[in-house]
Amino acid sequence: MAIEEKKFYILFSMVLIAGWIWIAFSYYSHTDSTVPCCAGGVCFFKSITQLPCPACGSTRAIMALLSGDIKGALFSYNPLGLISFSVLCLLPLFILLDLFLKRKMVYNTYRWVEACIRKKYIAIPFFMLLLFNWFWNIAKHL
Amino acid sequence: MDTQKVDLFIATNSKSFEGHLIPSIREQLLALPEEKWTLIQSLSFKDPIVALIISLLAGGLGIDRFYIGDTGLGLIKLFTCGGFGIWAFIDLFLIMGAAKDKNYRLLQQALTY
Repeated sequence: MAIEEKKFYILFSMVLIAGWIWIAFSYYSHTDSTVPCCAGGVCFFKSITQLPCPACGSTRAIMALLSGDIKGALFSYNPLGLISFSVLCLLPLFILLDLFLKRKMVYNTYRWVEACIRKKYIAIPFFMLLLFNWFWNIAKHL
Repeated sequence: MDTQKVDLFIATNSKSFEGHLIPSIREQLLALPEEKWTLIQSLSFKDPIVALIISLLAGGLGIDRFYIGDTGLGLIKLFTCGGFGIWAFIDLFLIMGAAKDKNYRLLQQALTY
């Protein structure tokens, strides 16, 4: 495996581990009211501008999903949380598969997605959707 | 290639590469056939200072990574509020090196093309 790919897998594993630690911590403070909840205080953007960033509310959406409230996760919080959560669930499996089978599925998929996003007819609708979601976040006062 | 042309190229683009790589880039360019000069000149390098400014202003949204061409990493940064703010902070120090690295790769790609 080239150095580039090794770096990629290490970085992705670190991001995934950080994500799972964050979710575990939020779930713990979400279910146990004696633990202070710090969600909403970690966002740089929000603490400076008072406006929610495009990803704000993802943790709350995942918490709503974990307590069985799918409608709340989709509409009252950030729907991007569902995408992040499915990535958090699926990616570790594929990374482990790559590790054991010595294949490069995740790396190749990542490169493919990157190449797709660079195409104009995909990039423009995609970023418009993200922008729309952001305005929705601001309107919802997340 | 002509020494004068190469030195002009180095002088105008020295900001865009890591300092320790410049002598080797100079050697490579001097050994390059003349007809590749237009290709090398047509390359547009990402300015590390611009990347740093974007990182300061909109690093939490991953725009700095989009700018240097790391679209995938930019998306991850965007989806995680700048990696919980930690990644956005670390990137303030990494982004100039990352931009210079991207430029070097682009140049190497053009040289071996």
